[in-house]
Amino acid sequence: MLFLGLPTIVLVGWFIYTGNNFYSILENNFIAQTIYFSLGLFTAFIFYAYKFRFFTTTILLAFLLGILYSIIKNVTVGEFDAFFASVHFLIFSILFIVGWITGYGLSRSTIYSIIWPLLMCTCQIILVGKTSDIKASTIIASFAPVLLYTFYIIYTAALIRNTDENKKDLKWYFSARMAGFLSLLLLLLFAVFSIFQPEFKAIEKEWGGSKGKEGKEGGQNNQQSMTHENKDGSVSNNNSMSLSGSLNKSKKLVFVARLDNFFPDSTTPNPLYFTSDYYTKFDTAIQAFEIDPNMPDNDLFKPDPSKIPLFFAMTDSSVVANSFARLDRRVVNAEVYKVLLSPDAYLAPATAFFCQPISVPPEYKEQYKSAYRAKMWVSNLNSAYFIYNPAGNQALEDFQEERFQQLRKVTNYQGVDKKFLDYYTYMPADNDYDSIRILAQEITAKAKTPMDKMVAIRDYFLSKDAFGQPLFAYSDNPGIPGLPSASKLNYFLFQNRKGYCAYFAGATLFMLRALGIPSRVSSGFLTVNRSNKNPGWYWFYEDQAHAWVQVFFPGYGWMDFDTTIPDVNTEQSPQPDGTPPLNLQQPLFVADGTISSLDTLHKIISLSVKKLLFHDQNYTASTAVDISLEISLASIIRDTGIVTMQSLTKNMHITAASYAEVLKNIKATSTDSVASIFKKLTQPVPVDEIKIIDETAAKETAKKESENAKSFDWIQFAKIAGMTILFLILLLFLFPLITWLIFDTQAKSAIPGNKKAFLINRALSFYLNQLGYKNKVRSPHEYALSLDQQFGTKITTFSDLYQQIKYSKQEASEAEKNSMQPFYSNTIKNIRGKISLSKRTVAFLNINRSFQFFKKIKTDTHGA
Amino acid sequence: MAFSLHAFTGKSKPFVFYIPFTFYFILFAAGTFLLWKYINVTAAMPGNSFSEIISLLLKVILFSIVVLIAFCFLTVLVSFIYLVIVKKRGKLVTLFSMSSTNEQLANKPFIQIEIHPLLKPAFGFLKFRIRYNEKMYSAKFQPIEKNAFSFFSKKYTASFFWDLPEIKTYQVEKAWIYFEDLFQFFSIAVPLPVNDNFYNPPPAREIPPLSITPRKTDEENQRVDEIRKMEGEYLNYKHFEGQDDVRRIAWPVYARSRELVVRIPETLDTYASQVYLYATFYTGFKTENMPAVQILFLNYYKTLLWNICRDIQQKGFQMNFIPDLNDQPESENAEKDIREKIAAHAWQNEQTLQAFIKLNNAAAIVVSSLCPVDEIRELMYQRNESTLFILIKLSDAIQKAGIMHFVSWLFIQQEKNDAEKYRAGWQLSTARFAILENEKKLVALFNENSKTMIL
Repeated sequence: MLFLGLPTIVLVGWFIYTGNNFYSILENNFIAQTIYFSLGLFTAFIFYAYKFRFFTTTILLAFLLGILYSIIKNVTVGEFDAFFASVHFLIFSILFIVGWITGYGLSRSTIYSIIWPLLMCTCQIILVGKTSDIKASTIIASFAPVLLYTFYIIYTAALIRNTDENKKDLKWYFSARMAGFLSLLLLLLFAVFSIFQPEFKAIEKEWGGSKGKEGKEGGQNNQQSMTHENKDGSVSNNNSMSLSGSLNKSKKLVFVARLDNFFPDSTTPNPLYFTSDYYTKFDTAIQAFEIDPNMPDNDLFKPDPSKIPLFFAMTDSSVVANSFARLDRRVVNAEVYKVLLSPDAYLAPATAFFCQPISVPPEYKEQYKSAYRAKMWVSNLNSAYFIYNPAGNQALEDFQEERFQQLRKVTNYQGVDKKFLDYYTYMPADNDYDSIRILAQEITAKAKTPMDKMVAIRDYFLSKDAFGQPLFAYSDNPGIPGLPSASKLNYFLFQNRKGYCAYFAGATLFMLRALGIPSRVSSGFLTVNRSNKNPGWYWFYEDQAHAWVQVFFPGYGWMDFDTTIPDVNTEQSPQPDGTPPLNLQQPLFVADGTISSLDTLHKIISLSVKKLLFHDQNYTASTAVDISLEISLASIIRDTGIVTMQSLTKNMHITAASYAEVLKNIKATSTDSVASIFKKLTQPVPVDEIKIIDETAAKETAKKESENAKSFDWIQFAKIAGMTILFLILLLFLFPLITWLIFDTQAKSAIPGNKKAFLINRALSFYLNQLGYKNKVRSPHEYALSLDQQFGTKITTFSDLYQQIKYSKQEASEAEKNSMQPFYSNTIKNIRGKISLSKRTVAFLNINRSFQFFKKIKTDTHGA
Repeated sequence: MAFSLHAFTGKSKPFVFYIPFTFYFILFAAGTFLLWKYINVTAAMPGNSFSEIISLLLKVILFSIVVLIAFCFLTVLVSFIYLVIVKKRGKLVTLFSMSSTNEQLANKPFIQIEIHPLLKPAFGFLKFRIRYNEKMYSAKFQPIEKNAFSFFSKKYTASFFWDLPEIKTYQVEKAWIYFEDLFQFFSIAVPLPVNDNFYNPPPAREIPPLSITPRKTDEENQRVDEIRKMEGEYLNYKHFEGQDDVRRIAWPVYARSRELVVRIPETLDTYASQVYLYATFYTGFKTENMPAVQILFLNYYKTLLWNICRDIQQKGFQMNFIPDLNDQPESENAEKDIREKIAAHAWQNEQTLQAFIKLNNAAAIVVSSLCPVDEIRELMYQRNESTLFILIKLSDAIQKAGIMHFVSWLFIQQEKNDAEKYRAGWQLSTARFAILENEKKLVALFNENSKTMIL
């Protein structure tokens, strides 16, 4: 009963404890709840020991509890008390019944003892999967006990089933088998987790991100960050956006951007949100928005700027077509200077279709790691000004109204592709989402066009309650929803009404989708126009990482709408904006290729060029053409920053750019080729900038790293395991020898007396037993006599003396005491003389005899 | 934990015994499959931490399961191969000794098993199955091992009390040894040669005292230790009748009661008297397809019959037990002999009562509810006054189902092998009314007549 019950209670207790963290209905009372469960378990254990039938008795019990529950519910002592008493009783009843069924199942039903641990295992996998504290050690620590439990229960149940209660030394037998099994199991778990350690680490690396680090700093688990820190310390937007208990933010500068988007007066900057990803799918299992690479009509341009040669552009016009935007659009330029932003990240407002890595002016190289230029297909109607108050600025208010007016022309979604419409208006169907649907219909009852509906939803979030207090509040720590069945969004919308951008965006998305308006969540950075010092320049800090909603208007395309309400409590102090990296030069010569030779002494390299940008004209060579470059003045950069000339190696892929005045007068025509241009140049050409493109190198190091991690762990583990096993085997076979040495030393060193007689007897018996001379049925005297005959010893005398001392409790005489030591040494000597060393060695490897010896001793003491 | 074995009839073919895995394994495999399926469905949308973690955990658990199960299978396989090799080389020593009785343990058949050399599966179990009476197979059982601690010993000695449902003789023809792993997922069988027979004896139980009068002293060759008074003191008086000797008139009695009584001389018999006990297994009904009658009633009848014999023997009478099919060999131990004879019997419809009961020496006649009432009536007419008729009321073997019984049945699990198992069949059988009617008439007949007893 204890063998099965206690581990179950501990595990269920732990489950309840975890459950308490998620569901407020349990009211953090896990000790009491565990006791309810244990009570059910043990009562059933005892009850069913009396051969009661399970089904009828359990139905009767459930019926009784049901009646009690309805009585408690109907006692009208005060509605509130009754509610709480009844909820309490309900929790008690459910836990008691579960404990009861488990108690019966584990003690009586074989089927249950197999199904139950598997069930627990499944629950734990799901629970562990939902953890927000993604660390290899945490996952292993929370999963290993359940794995252990699973096999333990199946084995223990089988063992109990097959053990006769009347067996002699039952406890002994049980403990011995259990200990053996548990060591086997622990060994297995150790091996399994060692083998899978790299994979756990990989998950930690991939998903742990900044969470682990920030979690440590904040001392809080269950936190969520809109951005994550990469290995090299750079920052990217997260790949998934879940709704969690609290949001982590910091005020580090991520990037600086110049956005060439102004209002028609061409002096008032019109900021736009910078988009990183679109979240089009919502995973109900983990309540997180997800990126869907297969979303229909993909209009997300996502190049990796670190892979594009400097000043060479990458364009994707399909995204413009996929944006379905024809009305009121134009092309806008932007330049992004990265500070903490990851080199491979590409952020741009609206529908970006062009990416060109550019060099950072030399004086800013310390500050900015890399930069790129982007071109976007931007709507004139789009603007970051939607929520934050344009009050006081008549032009902005007018613009806002104008924009709404225009978008009100869209009254329905007729003519929109059905697949597209279905995808972007999909929402899961269950009670939780139905209540969101009802709310959406309520608050947009008067709105007719999609635009009005959108405004109604915004107004709902900004509305005030009966006491004149804002209905919704911004909070980075909204807490975890309490009711078991409630989704986090429902908790946000109907109860807590506090949340950060993901909550507002998520809730808006589902309300819009419930109304049949195609929409998606967009993530990236919100743009704040803090000063008019440098119009069009914006500074982006980590706490500006953001999520908002995009709504589709046929003809106009996707429009940004941000329904997150301002954070009134922690109004951000304006960040000091620095100086933007101005005086950008256009290079006259850009060559992309691999280094064919390297002369570090004269600082000249030879480059095999395939692609060339000369006076803004693009040339491609079918076979690489070599050119020598003078690099003494060049600054060499990587994505991570400036590096020294030593970083250059042969066969490295680089892009070299030159602003040299001498190149200004050399003209090329469109009929020129790479080779013909090179002929016009005086070599070596002085270059000002070299960018190393780490494509293969980075991959290879990563591969090596992971390989190392894997093979290192595995070999290490195999070694340790092998050594341990060898050591244990050695120890096992040395056991007789070690025991003998201990006994022998004790016998020799003891002071003559009764104690010495006992020690001599023990040492001698062990020695003889180990050599195969075991006394089976004869009396001690007869046994000693036979030995004496065999070895020519005087064991008989000693044996008689020993028996006399043992049973009469009489002290041995002085003469007898003095004879003990010589007797012992002589006897051992005699025996050794008769049995060869090889025979003795073989005999001392027989561990079974040693075990038999100790077993005999045990039964002897029992007998006494 | 009590071990019980339930015999099942020959429907199950022996090849089923050689299936190397158990029901638990199928259950576990099915459970694991469902777990795998469920987790896979849950993790269907890749690209987030949740599905990656659970996929990895799933991988870990499946890996652990495969490793453990492989280990389990290996332990069993090694033991199996070892035994097969030893058996092939003819070095296997197996000893199955079965004794019918063991007084210390409620007279259950006792099996002692000794096998060597044998490699026990690591952490696993050894089980056995026995084939008996041609087509019957015992359930798998695990005997109690003598030296359970010597995990590495190659000698296996164990014993087992076989809780057999029927009181009868058994012929054991074959046995199987099963190697089972620690989870009992695998179970590999190896047949072992056995040939032995024994019987399941009827148990002892209390019955009311019998007033039996020995009818005959056949041979005065056996002295009893205590001299028995053949007739009691007060029984020795009778009313004076014409032919009585006047000298025998007990005058003190006359003085007190004014009644003339004569004393019958006390006789002391120093020789044991023979009690001829006739027991019939005759049935006048068709009972072949009634397990309640064939097993439950027969057990009940045999138990009571054995206890009647025991009671008679304890009184010091020399007994001649005469069942209707008296072809069993005589044995030295009289008590054991009778017990075995009883155990060997079954209901029969060939030897009628009239055919084998000799009324001139019968001290007691034991009949069951299955004997036709008319035949008994006939016998009773012809009987000597001192012959005791004992009726064993078979319907008592099944308790009457009252409402309380139903309530207790609803909530309390019944012992296996109990009357419950046969109750439904008995309640639904067509012969039930005829048998009960016959029993009713028999009870009436026995109540009408003196020197009768109903048990």
